[in-house]
Amino acid sequence: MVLKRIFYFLLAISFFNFHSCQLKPNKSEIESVFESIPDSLLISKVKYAKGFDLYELDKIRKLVLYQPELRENIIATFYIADSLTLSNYYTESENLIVVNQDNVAVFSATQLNAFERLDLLDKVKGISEAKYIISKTIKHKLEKKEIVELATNADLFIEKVITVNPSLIFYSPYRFTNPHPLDAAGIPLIPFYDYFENEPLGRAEWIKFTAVFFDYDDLADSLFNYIEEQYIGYKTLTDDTLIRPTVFSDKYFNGQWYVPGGQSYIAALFKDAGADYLWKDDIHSSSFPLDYEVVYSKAYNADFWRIVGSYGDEPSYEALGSENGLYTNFMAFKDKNVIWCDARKTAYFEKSPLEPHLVLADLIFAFHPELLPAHKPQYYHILK
Amino acid sequence: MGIKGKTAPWFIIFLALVIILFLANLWYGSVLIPWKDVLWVLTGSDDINEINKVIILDYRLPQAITAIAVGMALSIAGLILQTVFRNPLAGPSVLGISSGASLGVALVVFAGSLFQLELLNSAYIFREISVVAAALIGSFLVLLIIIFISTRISNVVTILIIGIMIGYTVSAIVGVIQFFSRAEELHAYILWGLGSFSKTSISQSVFLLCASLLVTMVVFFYIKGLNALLLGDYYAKSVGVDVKQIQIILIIIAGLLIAIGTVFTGPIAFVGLAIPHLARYFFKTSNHGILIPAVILFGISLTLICNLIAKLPGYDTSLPINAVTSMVGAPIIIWVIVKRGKVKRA
Repeated sequence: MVLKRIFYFLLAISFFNFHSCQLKPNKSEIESVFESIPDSLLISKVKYAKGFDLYELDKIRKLVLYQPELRENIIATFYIADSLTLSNYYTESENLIVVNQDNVAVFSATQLNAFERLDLLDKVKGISEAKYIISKTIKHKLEKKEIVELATNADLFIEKVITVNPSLIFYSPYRFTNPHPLDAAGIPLIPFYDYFENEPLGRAEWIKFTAVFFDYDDLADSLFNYIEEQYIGYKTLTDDTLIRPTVFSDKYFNGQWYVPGGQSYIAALFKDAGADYLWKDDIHSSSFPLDYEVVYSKAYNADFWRIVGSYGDEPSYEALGSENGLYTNFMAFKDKNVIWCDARKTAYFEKSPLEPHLVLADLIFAFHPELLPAHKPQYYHILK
Repeated sequence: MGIKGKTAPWFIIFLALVIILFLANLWYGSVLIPWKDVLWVLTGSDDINEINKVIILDYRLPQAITAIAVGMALSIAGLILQTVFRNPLAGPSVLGISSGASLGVALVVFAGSLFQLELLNSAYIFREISVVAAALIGSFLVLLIIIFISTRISNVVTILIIGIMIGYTVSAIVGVIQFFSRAEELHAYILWGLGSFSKTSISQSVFLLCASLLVTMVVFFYIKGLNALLLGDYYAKSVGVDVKQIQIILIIIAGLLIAIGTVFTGPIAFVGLAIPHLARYFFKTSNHGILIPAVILFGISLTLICNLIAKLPGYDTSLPINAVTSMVGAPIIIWVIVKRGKVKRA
């Protein structure tokens, strides 16, 4: 009797299994879909940026993130599509991201600016470093508690993060080198490192990266195309410039002078603005430390000196000279040719990566005022 | 009691070494400058390349003078503390006095995060004065606590331990403040903590040297007292030394010297701890009549040598001075401890 019951039970299970198999569509690995397409047919939508590639195939976007300065190393690959497509046709995987999620956290100020430009701030529920936010819209949302602070400096408020429970966290690997507590929370982490791009247009192109998670590609494309058109337009102005004024950058700080490398973002801007950067032949792609005397012996008679700083009161040559008497020895100081940008007042670090055309125009106006006589500087101006 | 007989030639040799090292500091750096240019600058000749003149006079000279002032101040402070506390491991950082100065500086640097005061972005002069004042106040506050305790407790070892504990507490407070601070402030504070001789202008360095010389001169009046302290409280009392009073005066002097040696440059490690040992070992004496001038010359030589090493031969950049003094100073301490161990066993 018992054996008979077991027999019927097993029969029922096997029938049920057979039936359910018949109903389930044939799911496949998403990677294999892209792998089956010849490379020649898969063309990245990214033109300048070196840190990521973006492919589109039948409403699915493949986002590939590379290790900065070493494109052979892929850091992460994400597949973004709507939830129906993903759940019906593809086997579950960690790197499948459902498009257009309503509850995300953004920990990079530059990326937050991209959200604002794409009119996507309503999707943002958490940010980091709330006290440095300059954007009025975000400040207002913070006051109304529509957005909350989930991290400060390099520290995550884990309990708050779990309470807000964002479906995605966009973070800056530079600040969060060790985000493992969030791994435990099971929230997908999307690294954002536009700051590694050395070409101004490459850095601005990261707006496409942000947009793809929300199906805002078209808007991002049109915004970027405008930036590109403007930037190239300004750059063309200096193409035939014969006289390129010499320039050096930054300040001495506690025994070191961090000079932007010859392959850096700033060096590219100087070149495009028609200036002769004194360290243009250097091989570094980021800033590197030099002794004061090395900088002085090379830059003592440079035509211009570019500084991004922040003084509470109005910046002046007196303030600069009293900060360090060594500065007064430079010809650019004596001739009052310091190109100054107040990082705080202009929100330089948040906004300028997506406005490289305006930064370039400011620099051209400083180096070659005759080329843009009616220009009104936004970021840089010659210190009076 | 002082320098005479066999020791005198050594002092002449070390004085000559200090002069050579000082000139080497003016000559040697990332940019190659001919010897004759250095000498011309010193003689005030106009027949010199303007760039070299700026590098020597405005950059290397203040650094060398600062190195001299700090080397002298911290070494003498270390000697005083080791004698007063009769402990070979007493030094500026051990009693928490450097930590006190660090706390003062931390309060100024992190004022933006703590009190919504944007001192880092305020006028440079104001910021500079606040840092100097805060470092002095910080080190003196710790010093006052030490003095207050030393009037209650006579055991110098207990005071030393309390000093170490105060140091830990103050460092913990600085740690908590750092936790709540923002990245740029943290960066500024960490850089201050790395120490540098190159932050001072020529006028600041001359001020440091004068202050350091003035306070060090006062120490010469206490040679007898320092020697008496070494032999114990009873002996000191028997030769007419008011132990409590002299201890307090010497601790105040040491505190002043530490504040001088920390405020512009950041805390410079191991100089105060290592130099007195080197001087004692070299002259094989504990007579302060010899030790004080020896410590001055050794301290100056060490900081000038460290500054030369920090300039990294063949490189366009330089190392933080604290890293160099630690690398040079720590092995000296280990060597002294090993030597003492061997002597005791023998």
